[in-house]
Amino acid sequence: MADLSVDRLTISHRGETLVREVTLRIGAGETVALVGESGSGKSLTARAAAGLLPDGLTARGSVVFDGRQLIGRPERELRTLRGRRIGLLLQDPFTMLNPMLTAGTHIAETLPRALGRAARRAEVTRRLAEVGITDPSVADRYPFQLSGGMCQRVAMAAALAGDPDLLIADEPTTALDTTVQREVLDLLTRLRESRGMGLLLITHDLRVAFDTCDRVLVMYAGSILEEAPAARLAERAGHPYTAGLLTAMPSVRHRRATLTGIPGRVPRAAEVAGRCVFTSRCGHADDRCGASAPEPRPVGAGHLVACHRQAEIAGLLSRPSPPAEKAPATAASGPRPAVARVSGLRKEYRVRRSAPPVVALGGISLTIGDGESVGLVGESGSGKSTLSRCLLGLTRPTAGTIAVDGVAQCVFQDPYTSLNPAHTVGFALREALGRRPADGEVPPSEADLLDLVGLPAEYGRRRPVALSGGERQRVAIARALAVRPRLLICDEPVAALDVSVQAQVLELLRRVNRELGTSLLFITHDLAVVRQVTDRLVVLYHGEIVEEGPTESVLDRPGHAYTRRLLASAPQETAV
Amino acid sequence: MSALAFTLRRLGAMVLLLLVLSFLCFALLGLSPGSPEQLLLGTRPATPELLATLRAENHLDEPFLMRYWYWIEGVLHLDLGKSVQTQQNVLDMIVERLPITATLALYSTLIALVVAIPAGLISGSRRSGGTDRAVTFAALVSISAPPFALGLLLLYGFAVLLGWFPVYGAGETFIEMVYHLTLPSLTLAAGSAAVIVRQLRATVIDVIGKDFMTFARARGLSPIRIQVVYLLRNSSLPMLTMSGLLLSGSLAGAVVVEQAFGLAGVGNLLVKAVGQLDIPVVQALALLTGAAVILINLLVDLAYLAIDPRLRHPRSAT
Repeated sequence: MADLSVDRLTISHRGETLVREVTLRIGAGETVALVGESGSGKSLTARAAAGLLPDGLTARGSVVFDGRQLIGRPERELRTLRGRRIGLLLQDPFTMLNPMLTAGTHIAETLPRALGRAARRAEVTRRLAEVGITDPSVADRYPFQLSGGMCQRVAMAAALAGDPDLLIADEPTTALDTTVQREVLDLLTRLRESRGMGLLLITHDLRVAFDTCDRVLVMYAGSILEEAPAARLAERAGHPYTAGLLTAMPSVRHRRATLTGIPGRVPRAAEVAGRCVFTSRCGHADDRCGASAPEPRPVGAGHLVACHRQAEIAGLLSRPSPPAEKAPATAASGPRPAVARVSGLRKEYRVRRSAPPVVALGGISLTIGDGESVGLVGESGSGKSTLSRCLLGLTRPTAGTIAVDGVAQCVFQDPYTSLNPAHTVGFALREALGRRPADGEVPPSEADLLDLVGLPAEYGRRRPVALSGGERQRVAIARALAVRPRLLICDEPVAALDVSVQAQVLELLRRVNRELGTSLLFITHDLAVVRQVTDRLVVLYHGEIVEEGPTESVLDRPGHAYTRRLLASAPQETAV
Repeated sequence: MSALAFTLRRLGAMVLLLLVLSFLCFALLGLSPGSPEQLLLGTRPATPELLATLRAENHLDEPFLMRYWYWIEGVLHLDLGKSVQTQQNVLDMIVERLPITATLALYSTLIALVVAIPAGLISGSRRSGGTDRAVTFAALVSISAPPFALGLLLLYGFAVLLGWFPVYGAGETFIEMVYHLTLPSLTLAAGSAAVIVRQLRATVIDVIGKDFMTFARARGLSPIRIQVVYLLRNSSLPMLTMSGLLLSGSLAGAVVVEQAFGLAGVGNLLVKAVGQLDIPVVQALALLTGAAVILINLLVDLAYLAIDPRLRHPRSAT
């Protein structure tokens, strides 16, 4: 058994610092989570710990594994450590495996010693069984013939085939469905325990970190801001950033009266040298914070906080807002006219002429009332995206009717690809305003729209590339609102966003629903998110509606077995 | 769709393409300037008897489609007609010259691949490094160098100054032929190698950033395995297409090189036949080249199947 200690690790690219003086230690068999939003440098830190930095990036400082310095060690020697001593698991199960090789080959090629044909086959079967794949024929399948969860299990078996002492897992469940996520996390925990292996888990999700790990480190703009045992961090975060993250986290158990994000955006590590990296977004910053970078100081057993004002502000840090007392005002007012009425909607896809059609939607009926906010949850393949495409008229249903009163608009998941990079924000908004149906009222200006989504008017002159993910999503919402839709369909609108930004966009959507009276159809796999925004919840499973009702009662007293499984899969919230 | 069905479909398409091609080749005769009789006469004196024989032999009094039918029937029985210039059997003329051109095409493609694969892999994996710059520059030079000039340069350097290779001719036995054809093949390979290097380099740059490459390294796989099974295999499809195109191109493109090295190959024959309006020879050569291109494409498609399992096992519906 061996331990990893990273000391003052600095990673830079052509002189620009990306990660600054990161120090962390993982004892033999210990589980540590490195939590951070995108751009925090958590993945680079993990790559450096495995000696696998991308070309052109240089690491300084020290990474010692089992008494051996890894930085500056020749590739030839690093290779003997990789796989056998340190394993690495990546995020996307579909791109991690070589599409040209079978699942079994991936495992067999990583086995530490050469075996005969039959023995190798038996070993591969045993390794597959270890990750919960009991069907040995999976060994002969190719990655593109397996589901995401299966691919991630195969990758795990391959990563563990060399029996490493430490596994570094970089967002291993982010790309998976909620229920599969739970299974893979449980499997990871079980394997770790049975092997006595150390685990460094890289994640953006504090809930996953609390759930899986003994110790949690919080990283931001290339620096570590806080480190504490998981339970302690959940109870009393010492750094304003951690507190902000916890506040922004939506809860599956109750609807919060207000959702508070962290204002501003994540700076580049190089921009914030020589000061506290969180200063620009911190509500408690003073002169000291801008003048020097704080050193991590112990504030309790195993609890380190890098904040100049830690002692003064300990009692002032933001806490999650209390649960909303009652069901939101919009939900209560009884029957109302429908904005969209779907009945007996059926959609089949034919993959091949000879094969039977695949049923994406098996005849569902659904009504969305005026000003109502309806959540649609289900995992990939449940048909939720097909439903939204049918509502938008992007695909023709096989059977059934759809009646939409007025205009329906959509906000898509990925704000990076849903805006045309060649056009300014203002151009996109003006273009949308041009398609606004005439209704005798004075149409809003471009600045009004930007103001509506909480962006300054000067953003009209910017192009999408100059905007952060959250800002782009606000622009996408503004563009959708420009044509005054009666119904706004949001397809996973916050899934690609960081937690601190997610809260702001969710709050914006709540306001749109409450103040403009726009109906929402909110499609997501995240139960905590859906609880914050919707009045009514529809659970879709294999193209059928299996449960439907007021959001609270469905989530508090789930009736269908699938809904219960979804709820059990959501990460635990020790924080609340 | 299984691999067998795929192959059968491609074979069917190939037959259809060949038919279209043969029709176009046959139409050459009708489209050429001058009457068919004049073209078929060649250098012989136009006596009424000879004209009558030519009309009868070539079914010139029948409608166009019937003439095509007689011609294609002959082609299927390996009867490609006679050269109007030499009265030699066209098939014999081609069989005599084909080995040189075929060897030249295969040999040059082989050289191109042997040079281009390692160069492309290294160049793409060490992007912007010294080796990459050298390779990219060399490729640029090879692409820009006209084959006749490069051929003369090689001849002067290796055959005249150093005396390592013969200046002229194609040799008799296979060994001799390889020896004689080395310089011409190098000349032909230079351009192909450059194209393949650039293609491979671009694909490698794309593939090398993929997660499965990182994951392979993270598992401590040997560099050889990563280079071949991970990098090369995933980068090989565009390169394969390109090599197929270049191989078919070098069959027709051997013209210049055969001239420069004084080789009596198919290219050489083509130049002569076109110059002398020897339509039966041109028809046969056009058909042959077209058939070779179609056949090479089929082989490339089959190689795709062998290399990429995604084509053998299309994603199942569920």
